[in-house]
Amino acid sequence: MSNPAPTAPPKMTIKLDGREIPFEKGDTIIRAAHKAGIDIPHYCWHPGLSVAANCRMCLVEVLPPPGRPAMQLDILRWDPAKKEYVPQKKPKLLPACQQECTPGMEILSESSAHVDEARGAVQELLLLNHPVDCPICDQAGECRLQDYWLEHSRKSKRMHEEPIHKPKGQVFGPTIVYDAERCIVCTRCVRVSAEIAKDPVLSIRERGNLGEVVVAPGRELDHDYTLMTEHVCPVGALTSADFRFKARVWFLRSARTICQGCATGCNAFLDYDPRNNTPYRHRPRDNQEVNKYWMCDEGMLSYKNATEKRQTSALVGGDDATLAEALSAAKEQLQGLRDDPERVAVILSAEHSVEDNFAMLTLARTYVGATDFFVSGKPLGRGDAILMAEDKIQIRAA
Amino acid sequence: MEPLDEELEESALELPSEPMQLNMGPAHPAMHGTVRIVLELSGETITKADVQIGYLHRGFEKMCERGTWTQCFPYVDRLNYVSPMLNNVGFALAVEKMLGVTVPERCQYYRVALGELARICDHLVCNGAMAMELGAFTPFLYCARAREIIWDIFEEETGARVTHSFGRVGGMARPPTAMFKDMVRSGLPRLLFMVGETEKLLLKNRIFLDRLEGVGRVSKETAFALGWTGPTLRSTGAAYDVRRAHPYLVYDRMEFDVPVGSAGDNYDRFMCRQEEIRQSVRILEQVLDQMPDSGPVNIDDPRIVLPPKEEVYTTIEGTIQHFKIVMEGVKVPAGECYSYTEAGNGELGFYLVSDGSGTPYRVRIRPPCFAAVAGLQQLIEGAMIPDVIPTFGSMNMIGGECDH
Amino acid sequence: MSQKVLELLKAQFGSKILETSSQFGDDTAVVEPSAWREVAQFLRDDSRCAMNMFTDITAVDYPDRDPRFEVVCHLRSFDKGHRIRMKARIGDEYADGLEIASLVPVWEGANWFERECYDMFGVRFVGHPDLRRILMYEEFKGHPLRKDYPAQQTQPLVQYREGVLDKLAPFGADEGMPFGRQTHDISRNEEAN
Ligand code: SF4
Ligand code: FES
Repeated sequence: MSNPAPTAPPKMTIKLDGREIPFEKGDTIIRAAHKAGIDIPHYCWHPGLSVAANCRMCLVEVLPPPGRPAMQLDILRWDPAKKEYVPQKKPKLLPACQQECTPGMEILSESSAHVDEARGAVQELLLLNHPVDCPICDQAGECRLQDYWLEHSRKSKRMHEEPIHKPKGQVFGPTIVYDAERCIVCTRCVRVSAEIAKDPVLSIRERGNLGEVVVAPGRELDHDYTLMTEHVCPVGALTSADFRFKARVWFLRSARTICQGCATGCNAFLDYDPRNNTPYRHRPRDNQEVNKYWMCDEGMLSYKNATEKRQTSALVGGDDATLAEALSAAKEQLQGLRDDPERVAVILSAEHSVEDNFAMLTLARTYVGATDFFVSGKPLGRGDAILMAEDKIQIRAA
Repeated sequence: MEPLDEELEESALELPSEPMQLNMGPAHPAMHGTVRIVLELSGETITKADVQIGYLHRGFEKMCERGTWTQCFPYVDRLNYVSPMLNNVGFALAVEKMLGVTVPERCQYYRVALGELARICDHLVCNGAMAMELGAFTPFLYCARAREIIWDIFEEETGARVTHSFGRVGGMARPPTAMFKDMVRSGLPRLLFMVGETEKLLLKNRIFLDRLEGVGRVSKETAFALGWTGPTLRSTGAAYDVRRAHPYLVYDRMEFDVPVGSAGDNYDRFMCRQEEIRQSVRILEQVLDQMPDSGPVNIDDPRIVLPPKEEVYTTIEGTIQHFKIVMEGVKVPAGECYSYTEAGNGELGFYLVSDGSGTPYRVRIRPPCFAAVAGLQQLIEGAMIPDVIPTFGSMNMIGGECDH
Repeated sequence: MSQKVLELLKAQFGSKILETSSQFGDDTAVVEPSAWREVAQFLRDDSRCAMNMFTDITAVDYPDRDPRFEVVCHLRSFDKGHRIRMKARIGDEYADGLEIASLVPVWEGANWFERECYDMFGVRFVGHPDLRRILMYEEFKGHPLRKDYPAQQTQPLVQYREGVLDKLAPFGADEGMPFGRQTHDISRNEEAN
């Protein structure tokens, strides 16, 4: 939520497919639609990044102002009856991610046959050289190429030549593996590195169907936000070394969580498989007040703390025990301490949630009668000016 | 020894006569299907009866809520496992009704053809089994032999003899084979011959007739109120056949009669089924004449129908299409619909609720024989134990369908 | 076709018909639960409706809605050939108040269908002559088609029953031949839910 302007400016609106939606000064069409909950298909645009306008998926038809002729293009269209190409005109489409709104602008997206055709064509071109990788690709199930093909193209292959081959399985750094064949060169990853991580290690080499992402010579993709490049990649070109080949996304369920890594407390989703109750990854959850759209690598990988290096079953005297045994042993040992509270000290952990600590505190005060409490913590760690806080104790965020 | 001449009250001589309780089933050899009928008897007369089903309940409706729409097909196969193809077609039509699509003509004919073959199977089994339970084993074997002809055709077409899982939303799993028409053409006369032989063995047999005629009578009104449909309803004289009353697929182009009975007894139910076999054969002959030999079987919509396998393996578009349909399922528009077809036992209804996703929100099957078996109790109360057998037989309870 | 029936219902019952709709060619009337049987009776007896063919009764569970359950009844008229779907919404999120009048007095065929609906959803049909489980066994706990019943849940194996069978109602507790020995007297725990 942005702060309400001191004086309410006159409400400016655009008309998208006949629906009035408001916009603020400087909004692009896609952003205004996004705020209104309408999705205009897009690959390269990301609400948290600058505009590149290179994928052309977001093309829309902007109607000319009343009384003005539409901007038209001369084209040749195949006429199946005459069996030849005939000259025709069609309106020039504009990228919604780049075109700023002006009051009263009328835009056709879903309702324009030209837009529909253009989206189908863009989709067809993007898939021209795409390898048949879905069965081995981690993105399958949450891939824009899959979604948009079904929504906007639905045509089968017309080009039967051998596709262009490019490097696969390139290791970009400790966390990221890159597959150039799957890349649609949307430059989202390049922009994340430059704009979010402030470390422009990625760039694009070549153009057209030879284009691919490269790491700056002598460098690795090793800043603190590498997993964000994978997160924004709309296709399966960038994959996380950690998540690669571990799980199929359609089997995963998401739970909303807060990253426990540091005092920033980034909002996240924890994706887990309900069948074996195992978490597989974090995904940032949008929260404009805290982490916007992003998370750092350390936080992204901190989901492992839920299961790894952690006591997950009860022990009594170092031996495995059932929960009931452990509880009764604890009860036995803590019994009678009330009369002599000095004999017991309680350690609360900064890595527990506030609720857990409170429950522990209440139990210790009432049942055990303890008076000595200690809080364990973590030393300060590395921080940056982006998201990472030096303070690694998550509850301080609360 | 008591002296014989001792004066005794008349009542003291009588045996204590309490009603006797008898448990038929759940695995009684004279009743096909696992069902249990608890009878209270006075002598041989049934004074009270309680029909208990549920032995074959497999949670069909719950299972359907877990997979995609297409994954329901193997389940519907196992409802009426005597005529699974009719269920396949019925379910496909229900989902297609919600999607608002109609399959190509060739597929419609194909579905009618396979459906009628399955219907013949259903009636053959019902009548054959009923005869067998009355002691006539040979007719049963004749019927089984006739069914074999149809099963061979099914095996050739679908690869499976019993549970085919052959229906698909928007078409069929495969187009008809090249020999389909020839196989049916050559099979039908042999089938009819065996059906005729069966009748010759049965319909002049005093025992058989005595146990059918006038037994298990139902009036038209009662049958309506009980929710009966299909041959059981038609035996009472009500000519309700979904194929005629609400034609679907290409049934409106077919010429066939709807046989009805007059008395609503076991004999009429038997004869209705026999006659329907002949009518099905009639329909089949027309289908074979009219069905186009080429043309698409599946509708042309990548959102609904799987691409050919070669394309899946070689092009990304095919792979994507396959992935989307298999992993997420066919997206059925939100809403609810009740779709009904004429299955072997009568009106097979599917009440579907969709929340717009690829997984059904609720699949309700309205099994025709559930209603029929529900009416059994009042038919056998007041009758004799031996009457239970043919009456139950003529309800054609199919455990899988009745207990879903 | 059955639009006409919907119009008739609205004219006859006014505000007791909560809403009507037509989708995919099916016509639906949502009925005030208290008027359930009354509407059914009208549908059967009024000569313009003549819904003499009872087709189906079932329920659908929508845990997020209030009322949570929908009882759905399908009917057809033999003479007129039209169909209608009639629904009533009942029960709160804890499935309290899951009660509606039984339609057995109107169509006797509703008997088993309502028993199934009771078995699967726990809908109690008031005035049903013999409301007990039909597909599940008596010892079964819960109602499997509710959305909050986990599909993978298992229930303990039922012990071999020693004679006593409530399930045998309407016969009472004894099974087998009662003369001579008065058999068992194992009182059963009251039924699930
Ligand atoms: S790797 Fe992904 S994010 Fe980067 S340019 Fe290619 S498609 Fe875009
Ligand atoms: S989103 Fe890529 S061009 Fe607009």
